[in-house]
Amino acid sequence: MSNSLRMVIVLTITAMLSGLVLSYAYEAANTYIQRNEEAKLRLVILDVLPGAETYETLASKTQPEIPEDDVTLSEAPPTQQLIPVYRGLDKNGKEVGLAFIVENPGYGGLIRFIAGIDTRSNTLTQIQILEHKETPGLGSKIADAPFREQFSGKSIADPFVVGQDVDGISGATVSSKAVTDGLRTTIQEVMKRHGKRG
Amino acid sequence: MVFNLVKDFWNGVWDENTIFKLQIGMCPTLAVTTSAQNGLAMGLATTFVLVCASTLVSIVRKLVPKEVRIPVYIVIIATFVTIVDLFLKAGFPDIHAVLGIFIPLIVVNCVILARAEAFAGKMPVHRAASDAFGFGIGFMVALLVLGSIREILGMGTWFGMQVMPANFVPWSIMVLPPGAFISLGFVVGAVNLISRRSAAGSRSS
Repeated sequence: MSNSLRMVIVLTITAMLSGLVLSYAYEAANTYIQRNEEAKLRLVILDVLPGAETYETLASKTQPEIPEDDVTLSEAPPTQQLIPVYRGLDKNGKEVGLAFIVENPGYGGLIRFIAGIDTRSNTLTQIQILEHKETPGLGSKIADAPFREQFSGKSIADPFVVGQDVDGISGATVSSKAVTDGLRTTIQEVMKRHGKRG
Repeated sequence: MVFNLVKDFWNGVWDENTIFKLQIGMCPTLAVTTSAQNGLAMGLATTFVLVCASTLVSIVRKLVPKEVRIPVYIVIIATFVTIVDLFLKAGFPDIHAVLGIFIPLIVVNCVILARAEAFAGKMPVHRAASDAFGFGIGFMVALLVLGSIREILGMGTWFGMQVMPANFVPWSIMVLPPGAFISLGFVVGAVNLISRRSAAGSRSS
């Protein structure tokens, strides 16, 4: 067997075995990783809904349920994206507020944040940035207290426009707008679907 | 034969200790030793990868043509690192969040490739494993010592327990990057002093 053929075979086998081992390891670890992430999300949800003891998950903008093994799913045109909404309940089971996750593209990538609405006073409780890839030192300030805290106690009927009722971050207009735009549209959507009727 | 194994092991722990003597693998050392727990976790993760990779490299050393040995070693190392990464993410998410990028970077920790190339690729399995274990423990102890010093002086705690008196004012510089260099300098100095003393002692006796 020629030497170069041997090299090719050895490298191929190495890469294949590595892939095989890693796919099993990933499979084994994934359930735990997801459980950890859910536990973390749970803490954040209860954090943005003060007074809530538990919460229930509501499906918003849900697509019709399609079984996971249905191959046509990937070919179907993407309809509206699913936004998870959580209804916070106090210890008597009364609704205290709604929390929801907003995903909106910013300057460097998707900004993912959670916001809570106090449905008794129709004000925002607070927002918390979960994930972002904005420029460090500029857009990354959306995760800092001075920017985030302007939303605490803000009425959900406000226009949410940078320069009007929200102070943007100088040098990071795109990042600031991504947050306010995401909030404005998602609040409307969430209140339309899950807001108290009457 | 047992003597050889002990010698291989001790070589990595003391004579050629990665941090104190060879001074390689400094990036994770300086970056993650802000607390004893982080140092220990990083040391354990590296030891696991080092032992597994060296053992496997030694097992396949006669099957791998020497022209492609480096890519094969790297794939082996990277596979074990990814397993550690997934394991920590699944079992210890808090530690994973702190160590973050430094876990995947174990792949490029020069100690691991150096032991695979310089030792495991030429030696039988039991000696390769013993050597890797020694280097791993040596690395872990070094990180634990640095992490302990920085945590005790910088936060007044050790593994999260309060060990300094209540009126102790923490030297916060110790948990910041300069603290890593300062403590490393003192520890390496102390280790050199001990080595020189013991060398002089064995010569005079």
